[in-house]
Amino acid sequence: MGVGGAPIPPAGQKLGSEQASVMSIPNKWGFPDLGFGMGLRTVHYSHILQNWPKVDFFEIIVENYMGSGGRPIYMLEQIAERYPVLLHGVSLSVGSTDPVDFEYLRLLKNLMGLVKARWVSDHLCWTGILGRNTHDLLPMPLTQESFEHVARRVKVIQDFLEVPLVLENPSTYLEWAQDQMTEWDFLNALTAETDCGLLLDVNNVYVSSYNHGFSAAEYIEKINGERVVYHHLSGHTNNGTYIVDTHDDHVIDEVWALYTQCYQRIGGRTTMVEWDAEIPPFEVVHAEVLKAAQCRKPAVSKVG
Amino acid sequence: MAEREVVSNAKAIVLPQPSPAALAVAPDMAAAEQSLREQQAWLQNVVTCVPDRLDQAMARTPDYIKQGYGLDPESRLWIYRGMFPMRMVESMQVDFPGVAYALGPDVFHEFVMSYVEEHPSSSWTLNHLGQHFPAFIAKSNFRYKNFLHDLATLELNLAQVFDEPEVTPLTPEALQALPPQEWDRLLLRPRPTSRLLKFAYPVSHFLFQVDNQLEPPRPARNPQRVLIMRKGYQMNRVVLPEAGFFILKDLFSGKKLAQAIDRLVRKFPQIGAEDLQRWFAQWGDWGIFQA
Repeated sequence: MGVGGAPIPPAGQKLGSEQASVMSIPNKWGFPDLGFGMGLRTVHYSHILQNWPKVDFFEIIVENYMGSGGRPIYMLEQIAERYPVLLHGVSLSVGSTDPVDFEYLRLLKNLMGLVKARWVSDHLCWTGILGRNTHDLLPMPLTQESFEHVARRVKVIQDFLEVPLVLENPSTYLEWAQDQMTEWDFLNALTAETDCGLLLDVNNVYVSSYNHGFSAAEYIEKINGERVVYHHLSGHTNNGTYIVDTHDDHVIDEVWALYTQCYQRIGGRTTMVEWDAEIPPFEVVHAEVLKAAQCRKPAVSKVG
Repeated sequence: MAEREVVSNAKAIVLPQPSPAALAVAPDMAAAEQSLREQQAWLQNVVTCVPDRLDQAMARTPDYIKQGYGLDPESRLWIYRGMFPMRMVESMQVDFPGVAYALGPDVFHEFVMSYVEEHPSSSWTLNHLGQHFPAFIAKSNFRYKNFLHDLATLELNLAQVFDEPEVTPLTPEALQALPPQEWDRLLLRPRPTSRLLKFAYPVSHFLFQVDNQLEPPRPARNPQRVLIMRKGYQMNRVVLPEAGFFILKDLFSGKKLAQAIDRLVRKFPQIGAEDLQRWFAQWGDWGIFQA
């Protein structure tokens, strides 16, 4: 069963279904492991509609579909008939000190109804204040005050949406001087306080660890696996002294290793590959999805 | 696991609507909230301010940004500051490829950043970022600002029509079957995806050349009347003859069919029944009217 009872992809067996069961921490809500999916991008529409490729699900950027009555929704409706569709946002601005945008939430809720979403994800960040939107995922101070502010808003948002909010750890390029805790402590406390979920972006863990000098392996070791609903994987751009999360390349080996660590520690979780810039042909992104499925096999043999 | 069990397990689901109390700041939190707001206002200013104000904004960097591993704090801020104009310009380039071509990359970049300074995004979507762009161009000092204004107006309308809701069109058969005795009281309403625009410059042709990577002509005044429409979720536009534009404008503005035809033949006596029949067949095929 896919998200909201959407049918399993018609192409047959799920990409990850050949793996054996492993010792795993179930997520708090009992959300199923949907397998391996990819971001739905316009350049791939025709390939998908002509070939109905074997993908366990697609994830959409909700802002590309909310409020549109044109081709985006038409395409989404066709694809949602055949695949589970996960909703991922970039404009919720959960950490902003501006008022919560309920018009945004209303449109998001409409979209959730269209694909029968059981959760919706966005980022631990803020995108703007004072009525402006930078359209960037700006970092939250990791302080007690910031925590209380975000927790209060997460509760309000979940009350409105009536499904769990699943927050993603962002890639960050700076740390606030006022920070009082690690990002994983902040997220663990936030998920416990608000009952929200965690989208553990493995590439973002790597990017931020590189930029700030902490251990990515420790991050994954310390995160509360029960709250992890799914994973993102993507490529990035390494500029030597820092990394930018560009989503424009293959996943690097170090990130695959961290993903394997996640699997060994937490167990199977819905996993999707993001490729958002210089998007290659469908088959190239699909190959990364298949590689993610392969990552689970060594862990199976170890457990078995 | 069943879907409904999962939903009912989410303990936060209590209120169907947000309560004002849920959003209120607790008295002991107000100071902290204010402090967080100041941090955010400062970072937003560093990321988005014009270069003239950057030094002043950056002066408070040691107060806010951790001096730690690797890069210095200013360089870290520059990562965010560098990405902001890229995102704004890229978004405007998608919606205004013709203007971008006409201005060239450097001038377009600079002009967009001036525009964003005056009209920053205030929406969750970048789709609305360009809504004041034609008016902003009209206030500019560009030598060809009237041409650029027309071009930006066309491009803004194309972007807006792309997202308009789909409404069932009046089919050619239904249009053909409208009995003449009802024309006196018949209103043909345009679909939200049909728009009529009149320009002083042939901007539709200019944009066609740009879209097809052909060398566009230099701007020269020559009125152009354009119908934008969407059929089967595909964007289309056609250049209309003056008479065709005249009657469509009447119909789109709410005039009855008989009145619109009467006005047309008085202004353009050379237009005959065959012309009208051909036009309406074409417009029916394009689905520009609502069922």
